[in-house]
Amino acid sequence: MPASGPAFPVLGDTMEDAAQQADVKLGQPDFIQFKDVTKKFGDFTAVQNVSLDIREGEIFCLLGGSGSGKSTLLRMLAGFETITDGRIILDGEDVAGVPPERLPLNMMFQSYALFPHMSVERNVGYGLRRDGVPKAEIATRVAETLELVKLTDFAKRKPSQLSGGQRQRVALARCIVKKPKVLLLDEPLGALDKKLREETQQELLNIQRTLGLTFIIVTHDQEEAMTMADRIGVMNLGQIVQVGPPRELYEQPNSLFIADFVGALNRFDGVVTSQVGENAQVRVQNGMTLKILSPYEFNEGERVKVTARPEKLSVFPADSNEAPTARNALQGQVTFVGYMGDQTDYRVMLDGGVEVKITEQNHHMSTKIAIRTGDKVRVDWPARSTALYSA
Amino acid sequence: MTALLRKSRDRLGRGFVLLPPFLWMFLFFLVPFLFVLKISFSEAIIASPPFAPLFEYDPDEGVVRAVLRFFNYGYLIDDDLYLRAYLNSLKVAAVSTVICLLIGYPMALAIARSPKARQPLLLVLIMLPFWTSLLIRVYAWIGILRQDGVVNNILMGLGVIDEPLVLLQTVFATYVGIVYAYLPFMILPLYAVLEKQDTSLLEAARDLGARPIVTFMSVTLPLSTTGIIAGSMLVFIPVVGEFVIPALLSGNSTLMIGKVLWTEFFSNRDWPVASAVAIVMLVVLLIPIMIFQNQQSKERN
Repeated sequence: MPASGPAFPVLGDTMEDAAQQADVKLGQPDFIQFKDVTKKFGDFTAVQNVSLDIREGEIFCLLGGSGSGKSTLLRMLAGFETITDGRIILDGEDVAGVPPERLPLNMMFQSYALFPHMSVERNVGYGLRRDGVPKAEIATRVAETLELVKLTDFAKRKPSQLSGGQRQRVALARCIVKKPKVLLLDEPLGALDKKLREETQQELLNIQRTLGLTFIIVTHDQEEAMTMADRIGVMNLGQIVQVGPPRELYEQPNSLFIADFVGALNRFDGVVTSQVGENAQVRVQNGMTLKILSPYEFNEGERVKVTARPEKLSVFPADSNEAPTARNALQGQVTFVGYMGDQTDYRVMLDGGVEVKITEQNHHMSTKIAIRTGDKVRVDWPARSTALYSA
Repeated sequence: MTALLRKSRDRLGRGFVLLPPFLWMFLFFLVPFLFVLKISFSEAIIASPPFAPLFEYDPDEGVVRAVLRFFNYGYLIDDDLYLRAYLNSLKVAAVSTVICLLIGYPMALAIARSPKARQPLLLVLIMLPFWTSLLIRVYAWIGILRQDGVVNNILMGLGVIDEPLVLLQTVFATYVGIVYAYLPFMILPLYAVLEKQDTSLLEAARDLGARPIVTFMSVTLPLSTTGIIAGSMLVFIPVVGEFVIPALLSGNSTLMIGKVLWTEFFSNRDWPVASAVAIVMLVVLLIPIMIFQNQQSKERN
């Protein structure tokens, strides 16, 4: 998979938007710095030359598949793994050689790692007891934190007597009661069911905002990353592939890998047939010609990959009016209709022999089925919603 | 109707599975125990078997008389030899258990924390001694500890001592033998518990500000209580009645109830007293077992 290729600004104002929003709530821009960090386990390189700055008060997501090195990076910051090469600076201090118990950050483990022999109360107070906080103060701070995570009634229970969601909140309480500067969350919602996830996401965001914490979240779930993060760093094979706000990653991926990893994608292989200014034409499989708006110059005859997100595509009955010239309009036949309630997924076999995915929001309340499997349709999308990558 | 049938069939099935162990316990534990109990209420006579029958038929009056003689138990109280032997056995067992725990815990922890691939090898090394007879292994200790044995030769060769130390037939030798023989019984249950411990708990403790030693005391140790209790029981209970090791290594240095039992049975041929000794020992041992059971059921709640 080619990792290089020209970025393609589709919505030019997104970056400024994100930056402006960011400036309002964020502090010190280089609060946590990864400088050329490498981690090797024997011959295996888990993390390779990662450089990254994380702002104070930001929610930063490390997104990647299993084995991408995201957890290793987090564990190095938490002091659980030694750093093979490079430096990690936390609030001006090098973390190398500092044992985990002395770092001003706390980690919420994927398994929650609650102490099974202690009550909720004692779990939450554990960190404070280790710091030698006076007993009376421990009691009040534990009570306050349990109230914040709505577990006051469960203070005397053992972790085995709690539900998954409650355990997750104990794990959170146990960290935030220590008032760390940074909270590391390893797949924080991984073990929860969908409805609970959404609620918990909201709770986490509220707590983050209330306490002004810096969150670093490790996840493999791009949806989770998109909804929670201020910025996302996508990792693959131990390297950071792209860092940016969710919108930028989705709309302006810097590589086909990112485009494919974040969100669904229709892909075509093609050859550039002409480019006049930004208006390029690409001939794809079976002689179909696509119109594409690309700020980058491609040579005539250059092999390219063309991508378009399913939700940018629309389906119309085949006999409806012809599309404006700035759009792509291709004929095809519906092979699959998936009604999801809020949206409908279509698969259309284009006459050129390529199948595309289309997602349409069901804007209107209607029980009428407009398009069925087998219908002849026209698939239509704007030239500017199509991206080009060098093959 | 079918539900009822299924229920009774299920019950029958369960009974079938449970029957063999119950039968086993009945035949090989309860029946011999009742024999021993019976003999303990008897009287030593010169005959074969060397004890008076408990039930006698009196043809004159046409009745069966059962004569329960309690004086064997009284005898155990009268002669303080038995009390001293019991107490000393308990002391030896307790001290051996503590030593086994102190040596065994770090070993079990080290095995549990070593790379997964190496653990089977280390466990085999722990169990390897069982492949040789206990008797031979204890004899080997005689070779190591005696006046011209390995230890004395090395120490003299190094010039640490001028005269050979008296090691054999001492309390020291008793403890060496017992701890050596019973250490695996401590290590294995401890390993089983420690190996299952979630390492992320240790990381969580560190992350929350606990130094490694504090992590051990507040997380690892309390979470291994079941292993500590199981291992301690497995060492304590058999050591109380241990005979072979003190017989070979202790000489007259250590008075233990196992040896007393042996003497009563084989030297004095006083089966009733020997049986009474055995019964009392069983009762003494039931106490720690019951504490253990109680602890376990508490844990489950």
